[in-house]
Amino acid sequence: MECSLQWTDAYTESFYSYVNNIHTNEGGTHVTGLRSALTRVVNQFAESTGMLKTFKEGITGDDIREGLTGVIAVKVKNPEFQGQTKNKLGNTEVKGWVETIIGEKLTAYFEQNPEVVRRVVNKIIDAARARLAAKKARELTQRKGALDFAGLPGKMADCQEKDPQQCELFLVEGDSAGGSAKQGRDKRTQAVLPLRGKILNVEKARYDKMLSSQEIKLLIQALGTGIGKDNFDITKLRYHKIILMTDADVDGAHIRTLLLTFFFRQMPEIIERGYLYIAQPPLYKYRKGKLERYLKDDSALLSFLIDAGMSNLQLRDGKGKDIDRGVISGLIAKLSRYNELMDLSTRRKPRELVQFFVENEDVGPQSLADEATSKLLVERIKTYLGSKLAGQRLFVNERIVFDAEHSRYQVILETRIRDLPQTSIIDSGLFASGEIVELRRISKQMQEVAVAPFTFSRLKKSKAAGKEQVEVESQPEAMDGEENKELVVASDADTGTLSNLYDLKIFIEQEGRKGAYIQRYKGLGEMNAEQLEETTMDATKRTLLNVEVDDAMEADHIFSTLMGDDVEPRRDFIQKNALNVRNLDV
Amino acid sequence: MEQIKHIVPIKIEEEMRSAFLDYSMSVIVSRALPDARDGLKPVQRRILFAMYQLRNFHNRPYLKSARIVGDVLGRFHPHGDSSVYEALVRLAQDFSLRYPLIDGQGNFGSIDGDSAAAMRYTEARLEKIADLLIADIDKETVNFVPNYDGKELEPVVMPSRLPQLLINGASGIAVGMATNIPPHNTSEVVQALEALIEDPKISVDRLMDYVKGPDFPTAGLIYGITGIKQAYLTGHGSVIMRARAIVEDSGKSGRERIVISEIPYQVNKSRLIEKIAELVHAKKIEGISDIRDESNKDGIRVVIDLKKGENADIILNNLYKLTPMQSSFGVNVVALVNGAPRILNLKQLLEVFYQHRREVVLRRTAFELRKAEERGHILAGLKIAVENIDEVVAIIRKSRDPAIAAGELIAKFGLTEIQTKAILEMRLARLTGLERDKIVAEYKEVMALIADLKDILEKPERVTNLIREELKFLRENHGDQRRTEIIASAADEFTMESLVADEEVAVTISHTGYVKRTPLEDIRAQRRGGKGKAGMLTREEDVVSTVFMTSNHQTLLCFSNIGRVFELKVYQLPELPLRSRGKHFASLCKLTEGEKIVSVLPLKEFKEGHFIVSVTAHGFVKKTDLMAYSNVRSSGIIGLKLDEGDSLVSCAITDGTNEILIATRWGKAIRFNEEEIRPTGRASRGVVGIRFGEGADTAELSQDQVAAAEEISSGGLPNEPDRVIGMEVIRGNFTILSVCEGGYGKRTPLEEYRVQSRGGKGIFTIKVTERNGLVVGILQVDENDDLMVMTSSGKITRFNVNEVGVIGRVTQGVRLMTVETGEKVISLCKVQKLEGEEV
Repeated sequence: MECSLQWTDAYTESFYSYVNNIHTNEGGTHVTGLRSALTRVVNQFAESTGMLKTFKEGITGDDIREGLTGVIAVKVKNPEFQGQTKNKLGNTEVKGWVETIIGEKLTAYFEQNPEVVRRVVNKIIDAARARLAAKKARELTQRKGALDFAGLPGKMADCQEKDPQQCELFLVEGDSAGGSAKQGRDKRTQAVLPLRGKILNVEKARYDKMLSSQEIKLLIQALGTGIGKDNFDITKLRYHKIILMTDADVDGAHIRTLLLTFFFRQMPEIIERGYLYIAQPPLYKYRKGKLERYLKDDSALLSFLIDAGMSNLQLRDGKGKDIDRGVISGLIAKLSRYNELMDLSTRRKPRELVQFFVENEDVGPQSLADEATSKLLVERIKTYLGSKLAGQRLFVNERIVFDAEHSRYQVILETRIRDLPQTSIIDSGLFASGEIVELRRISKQMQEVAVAPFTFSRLKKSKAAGKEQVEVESQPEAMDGEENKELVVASDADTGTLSNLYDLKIFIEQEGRKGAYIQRYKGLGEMNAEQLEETTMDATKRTLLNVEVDDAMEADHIFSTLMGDDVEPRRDFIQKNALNVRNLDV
Repeated sequence: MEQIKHIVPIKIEEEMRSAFLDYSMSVIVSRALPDARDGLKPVQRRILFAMYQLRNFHNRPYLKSARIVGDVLGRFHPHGDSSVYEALVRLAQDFSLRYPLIDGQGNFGSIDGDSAAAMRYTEARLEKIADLLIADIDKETVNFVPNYDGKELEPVVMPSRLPQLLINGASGIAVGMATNIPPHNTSEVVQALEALIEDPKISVDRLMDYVKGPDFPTAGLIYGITGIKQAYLTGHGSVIMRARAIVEDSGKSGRERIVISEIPYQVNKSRLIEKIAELVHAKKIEGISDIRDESNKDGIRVVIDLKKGENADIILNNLYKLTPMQSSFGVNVVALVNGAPRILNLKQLLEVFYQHRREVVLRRTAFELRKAEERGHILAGLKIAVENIDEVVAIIRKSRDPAIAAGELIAKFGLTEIQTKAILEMRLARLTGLERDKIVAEYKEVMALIADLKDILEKPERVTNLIREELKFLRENHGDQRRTEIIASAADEFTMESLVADEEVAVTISHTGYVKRTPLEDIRAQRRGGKGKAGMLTREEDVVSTVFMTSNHQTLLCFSNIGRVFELKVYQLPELPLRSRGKHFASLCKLTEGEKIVSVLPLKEFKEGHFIVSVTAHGFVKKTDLMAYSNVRSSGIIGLKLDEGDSLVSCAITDGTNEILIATRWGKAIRFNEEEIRPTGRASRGVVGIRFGEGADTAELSQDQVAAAEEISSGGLPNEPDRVIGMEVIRGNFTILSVCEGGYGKRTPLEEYRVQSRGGKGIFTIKVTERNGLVVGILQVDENDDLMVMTSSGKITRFNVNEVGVIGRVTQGVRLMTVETGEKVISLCKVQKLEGEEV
């Protein structure tokens, strides 16, 4: 008997068998023997080298023979041929004989060539994986839609209409949200599929593992298109609007990224055709008396509150100029940014000191050129602080030192303001720091519009009428998400002054909150069905974001950075985009 | 409702960026990472704060866990209830926290991985030590922020009188980063803080004099301080933890047992036992007969019974290597500083805590000062009142209403509104003598307090002293003994020598390169069992060509025909019974195509002054210092340089004074002293050992022999060029056996081979004729040796050398065995005897 085998990159098996030099293209017992030996030996080696550990489902004969080319020729004394064309060997003893010999030889060869074994077994395991994955994908496509209700996921609430162009599928987070959505929807055209928990990150998971995920399977079934390059059929899509409706919190944002990853990587055509949308459920509900308003997020709430506050105030700036609503709206973004930067800068420095630097743009590195100018600077600071904190206990002590490392002067200022001792280092680096530069810029821009101090008067008089103009004092209190804001007390006086923009924004915002009830939705389940319907689901009332791919390469890069296996690029991304804004502190 | 119906396009890149950033930032700064100042994650802080507000202190009754969790959920933490309860449970476990912060009543889980009872069953309250975390929180020492719905205020950080992050550690997985900080001993950390306060410029090294290393609640041992050192210096490091196990006599004759009393941190005890059982079952660890968990409420006790006569230390080493009995803690010190994640070294960790305490003390003092001043102000007014009580009463009596009275008092005495209010609200009893004195006394007290508080604010040194006192209190009341023992010498990696006993074994190598080792113990046992001679499993073309005795820890230098050399330790060979075929060299050394091992030299150690002598087919000999081979790996290095077409024939170990005998195919041999070979480097080619003539050499032959030789050149013998076929290092006054392909051979005494100079053509060792065939092999033998000769058809013949006659050198030899036509002898070897019997 002679036999020769070779594994190639092809996907098919090419095998030729001969008996007594006669080509037996129908095979026979010799081929059967060879096949059994192959399967046995390969399985044995895969097992003993531990490679089967990562793949428990077992490899089949087909997997082993994928890409195998070979020839086997036996010489049999009394061959018996079977089959119609008499091309198949029938001698039963040949099977055992071939199997034993091939088994021994193959085992010996494998033992002596461990490298070959490893490559072959790897190839076979890959083939087995691909086979399983294709099978799962096929199974998913086979569940037909409309008529076969047993195929649709049980949790899903389908719509009545069959024409996909009119149908919408809402993907919601969890059963709690699912309940509200199911009740609030338009049963004719809107379907709801609740997804339990966080779905699999398809960027990190292998294809066959993805198809084992229960939630992914449900999703694919509901969509009706099948999955995989062989099975995906966009024309079978059952909904031409697929709307991602997750909770408005950070975990909702995370689930949204996971869903976007799935669609981008596995069903990009859905995005290309513009069928994918993101819903805009509100984060807040504002209610004052009969007025009810839904607000999408924090910045929408702020705009609204400022608006509301302004409606009851008349503002004038330091130059006597009237400031109206339009102007304020234009300033809101700048004010928020200003406050953000103030928060960062005042972590270790007194606020009044930072304000000094912002307001006095002429102060810069040149003010620290030598001892004399540094002393002058200190005097100016002391004067400023004294005037701003008149009547309060103030303690300032300075040390002027020469910083040899940078060949400049530094002022080390020890202050005790409001009984809180702080030590601030004033050096030329301070004037170049991102915060101070930007604060100055914004301040300048705002000053072009309006100049501190500001006076306000309420249009609708409050109950405590007749109070004189009082200097509005600052007292520690807290506001939405802002640490230890020194707030302006919403004094009952009808008029007053505000010394800077910082206090102005907070004052107007507080004014807007007066008498109103503001509810923050943690999850969609917190809204009742009608609320959800009229804010997010009703086609005549809602706002939807239509997902589109602008730059495919950029998108690909983003998905693999954010959702992929490597941690380093992700960490770099986070640091560059978010932390650098927050982390500066002298 | 004016909400415009709108479809707004959005780029997927933008949405991904912003949604992912939102999520990751939130997980980083307000979920998974602890604050560097109080060492707490947000959920933990909220739990402790809620319990504080519920007044759930250590000296009050327990509260139902569900009640606490409900409070936390509703007021501060709008997420799943199970995550809150799980966090609470962990804070109460004495095997998870070195200093538990919560005192739990009921089933709070176990080191075997059991979960806690449901929250409706368990109860909890704060531990005494937790008071230190929360103390002074109501004195404006920390910032408060609104909760998620704006209805409550929660603290951003705890005042934290104790360095919680270091003493209890933390672990969490965020996005793009993670943290893993081990727990420490309070006394050590406090001492380090005290040292830092004394000398702010202190180095991390000096700090390590105090903080010796992590201190786990589960005790155990730590091996090696390099990992600790690196972690404290850079924030990253790997610390090797080991269970505490001792070997003791089990009482039953000759049997020992291993008793584990402490396990590494975060290892699940029952899963550890399972793992050991799995390994025993899969025969990956031998020698264990039973495992029992005898732990009770007093402590851990896992007993591993060993089989009789087993080496307990080797088994213990194997357990450490293969099970979580030895685990490593990957230190990664990441914590939030100013709201951003940072990697911190030991000094930075302590500094952040110290600065935080300074700020807390200052703010507390400022608060106390304000309160004192307010009180002082009132007392000042009261004091004035009681000093002028008659006038005050008169004014009040005169006035029509309180407001007027107040006005009068203000005018007359220069009081403020607040003071007059207090005066007007005074009880008449306060007018008595004692009460008046009390007011004055309290006033004086408060004034003194105010002065003191102001002094604290003025002088930083006072703050420092206050903190020193706090630390002292901490050390005296909560400091305790170190539990985890630190062993300075690193265990490092397990060498195989510590995992495998140095048993005596027989190594057998087959002709085609299959090799194995068999413990002599087993061979003897088999022999005793009466199984008789168990020869090596012989198959076609596959018979043992080399056998030698050695022991597991010895080294084998394996030389291949293309001149590469590999080093294997004997224990790397598969241990198999004699009947097995063994494993092919190719799976032990990385052989290339067509490469085979030609010489295997066993070594106990690399001795100075010894050499490796090798000979090639083309007759080159090389001698290299044995030490040059001491750094070979199993991937092989060049052992010698070969010319084109040349191959390595044989190698041997010499001591510098030996004589070498080289034999060729055409029957020549040369004997010379190795001192004639100058030692050269490993990769050199060597020098000429023997020179070949043309075919058969006629120099020494007599007339008949010349005729015979012509017979050769006219045909009958294969026309192949001469080449070296073997080398022997003369070990004693033996006889030299030469064997030819035709099955003929002879022995000749050593003295007939005169010592020559290296490089000559040599002399005849046997006459090569058509009948004999060319030479196959040469061996030095003594009369006790047995021989095994194998032919190309697999026939094997064994005989004692005495059956081979001792005759002259230039003879044809006698028939040793029958060889058929077409068949030839292909190999021979000495049979190794074990205690007189054949192996």
